[in-house]
Amino acid sequence: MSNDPQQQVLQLFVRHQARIKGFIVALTGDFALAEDVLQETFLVVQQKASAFVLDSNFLAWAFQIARFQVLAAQARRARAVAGFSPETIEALAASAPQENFDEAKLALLPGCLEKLAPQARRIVDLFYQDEHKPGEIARRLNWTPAAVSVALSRARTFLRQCIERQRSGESP
Amino acid sequence: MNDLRLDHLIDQHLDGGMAAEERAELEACLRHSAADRARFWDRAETHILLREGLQRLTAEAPAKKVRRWRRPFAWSAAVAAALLLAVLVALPRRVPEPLASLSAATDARWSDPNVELTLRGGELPPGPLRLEAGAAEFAFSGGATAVIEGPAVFEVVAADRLLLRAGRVIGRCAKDAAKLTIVTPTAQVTDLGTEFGVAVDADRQTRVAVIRGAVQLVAGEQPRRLNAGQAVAVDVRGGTAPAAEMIAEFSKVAAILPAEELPVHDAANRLLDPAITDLTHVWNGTVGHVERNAAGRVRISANGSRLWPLLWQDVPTGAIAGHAVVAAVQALQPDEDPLRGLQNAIIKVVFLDAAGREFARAERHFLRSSAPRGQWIRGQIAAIAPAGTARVQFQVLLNARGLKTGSLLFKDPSLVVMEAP
Repeated sequence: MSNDPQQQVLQLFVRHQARIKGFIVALTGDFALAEDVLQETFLVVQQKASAFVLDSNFLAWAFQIARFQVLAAQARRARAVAGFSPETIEALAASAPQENFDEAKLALLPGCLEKLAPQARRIVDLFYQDEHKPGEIARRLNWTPAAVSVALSRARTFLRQCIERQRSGESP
Repeated sequence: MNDLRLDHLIDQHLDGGMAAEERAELEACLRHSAADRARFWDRAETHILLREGLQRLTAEAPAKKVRRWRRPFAWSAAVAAALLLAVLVALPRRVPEPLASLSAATDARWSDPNVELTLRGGELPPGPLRLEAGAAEFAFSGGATAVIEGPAVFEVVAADRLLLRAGRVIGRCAKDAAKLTIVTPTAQVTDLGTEFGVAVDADRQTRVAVIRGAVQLVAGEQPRRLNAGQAVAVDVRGGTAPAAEMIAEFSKVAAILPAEELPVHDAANRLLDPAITDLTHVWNGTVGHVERNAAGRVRISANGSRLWPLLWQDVPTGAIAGHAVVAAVQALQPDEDPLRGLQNAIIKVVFLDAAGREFARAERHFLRSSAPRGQWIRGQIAAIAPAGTARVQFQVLLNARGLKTGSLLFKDPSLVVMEAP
């Protein structure tokens, strides 16, 4: 690790990037906006790196910056696209998980994805990988948007249970 | 609130596009109940995991590693330089139309393979580009094209503006609306409906020649107009002198990637089975990506994971060094499964020596996702066969960019070896 404090902060950002991104993804409910906010957050972290006290809670500090960037990004956007209010975002930010992003869970994901029914897998790919909105997925598959949302909900519940099962099965 | 209802509301938020009343209901819960907030993060965790996991799966396909940055300098330069971890932090971005994209190349050798991959993917890497050898044609989103001959160092700074630090450029503005300004260390050349050449030499002198039409030259203080057949050299102090020899020199560069379509006669077509009926003995296709559809047309489909699925045929030519080889094909983007984003069609000619080794190539990108659907569009590439050519490989490719969807139909392939000049 570098001795330059500013570089240490940037390294911390890289190490915690997945967690910070997850924080933004959950607050915005919009993948494209989340990517923008993550980049803005990085730029601010970089500018303010000297203000960060090493050995204090980096994630809490980065979440604080990310939270303001979420609000700023929502304010910049068209009024038609609503997001959480500042109060809700503040309340959620205070209770956001701060443990490291669980790479072990991520490693179990591909195996569980394979267990999804083909149509559910397709919807998961269209949504999470290709960034299509449920309305667009519904149009492509000739479903209703509500049916796509239900399929996504079920897929999430299934995958969560699958990952938990595999994990508990692995550890004695 | 019961958990089922809360989960439903949280999922609505995560899926995007939540109705206002439902949002108000969810926000009331989240603001007032710590248990509900915990449930929100718990439910979001799988969502976050899926997003991260599937994004990484995408990023593992090599084409995606070189996506464009919205803030190329501040972000990537800072991180790459500071941390040497550029790949780890390469956030995939939604790609706006680049200022200019590579439309054709002849034996182009770029300073590094990432630049080549990015350019061939239809994107424009930020900052100055170094073309070590060969020629590359760029289509500017402003409508002009520029053929750059290596060795050259240049940078596309706007949809109609090229900075040339070294090397030679032929600018072409076929349409009236198209404009192109080439800025060199000593001069600025703006087309006035034209084909023109600009060179920056090792001594930083700029030379300008007008092949067709006219340009405005700004060097020193006075802007002046140069007409077809005129050529000047501009020295580092802005002084100008005639440079008639430049006309012939630039005409040679212009011939590397000709602007006009060359006519092709069926009788001269060296390809076997131009109806593309035999995909086992005569034609070759990337397995799983090339097939004939119900109407008998050849279709190349992305189907995920592939960067450049292709259809090809080898043509023995004998010694043809110095002859122009002209390849052409018609491509159509179908209504069902059309191209997406920066996907496009490529026509390519590869020169093979007697041992079957590929040693020279030329290619053109010609049908982009913005092209009208259901319409045949012709693509053509011409190249001079280098010494040692024994065979020529004709290729048509789909620049699939590793996406799961997108397809093209092809017909009327031709490969013609022109008479020696």
